[in-house]
Amino acid sequence: MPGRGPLLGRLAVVAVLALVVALPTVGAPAARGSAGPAREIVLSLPGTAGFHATVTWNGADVATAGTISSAISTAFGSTIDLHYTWSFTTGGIGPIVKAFNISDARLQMFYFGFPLATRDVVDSNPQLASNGTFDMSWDPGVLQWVLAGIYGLTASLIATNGTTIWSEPFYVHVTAPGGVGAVLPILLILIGIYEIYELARAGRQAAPAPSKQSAGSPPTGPSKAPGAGTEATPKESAPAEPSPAPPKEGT
Amino acid sequence: MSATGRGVGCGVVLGLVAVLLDQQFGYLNLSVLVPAIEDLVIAAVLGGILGGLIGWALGRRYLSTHPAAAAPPS
Repeated sequence: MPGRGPLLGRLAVVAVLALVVALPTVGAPAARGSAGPAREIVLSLPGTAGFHATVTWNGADVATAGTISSAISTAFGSTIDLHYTWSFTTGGIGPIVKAFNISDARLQMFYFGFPLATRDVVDSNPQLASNGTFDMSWDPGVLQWVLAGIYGLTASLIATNGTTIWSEPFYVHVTAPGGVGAVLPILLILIGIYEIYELARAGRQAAPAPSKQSAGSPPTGPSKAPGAGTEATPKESAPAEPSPAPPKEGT
Repeated sequence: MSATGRGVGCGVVLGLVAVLLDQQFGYLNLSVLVPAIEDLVIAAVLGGILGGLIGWALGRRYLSTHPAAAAPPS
């Protein structure tokens, strides 16, 4: 078959050319820089390697409050200022720069795993970028009168498609007004005092309850209430009979 | 309800209150569901046992100091 060799050769050349032309365009759907060593390829894929973010809580970096012992001490009586800063760095890997479409900075406060409070700052017109900032001003509102103690919070940055690009859990120690001036600790202290009082009185429950027969026995005299020691009984009316029976303890 | 039973009930509530107060005064983290529930259950069980023992002991003492209460009704 004499004509098949050149045809295969031409096909191979075309395939190689097509591959060479197509290769640089793979993975650069958003934008493309000029050809050369400083070429930049911007990706809109939400890969998070190299993504860095910092959040400050009234000026304190929340990354330093990752444990209970290092929790940020704060009061809910005033507005809390949070500042989100994010950026993407390639880390010297190459000229590729990813851009992120961050549209939402979120703060959530958890209690028993459920979000007790959620605050969002939403960018209504997010743009692809390699860095950005969000400023959040959070007023805890009625929580200042209700809560105190250690709470876990999560600061997160969310992309337009709802993907959480970055999040940082941290702890705050909420100080109540006047130490215990919140509703929940006061309520718990009152419940504790009542239960201690009830526990101290628990011994009285050891006295056997009056049986049905004694409680419901017909009175010996007219209109005598059972167990009522204030009225005269036939025993009391007996003059000379020594009556060593101790007074009955009511429970 | 017996003294022991009353003691168990009070102890369970006191155990729960103690855990919640620990969180309110800043010594305990109850932000995550499962460990928080574990803390509450452990505290309730321990409180119930301790409360039951205290109630039982108080009941014994009450009966020893109030013999009329221990005597069966005639």
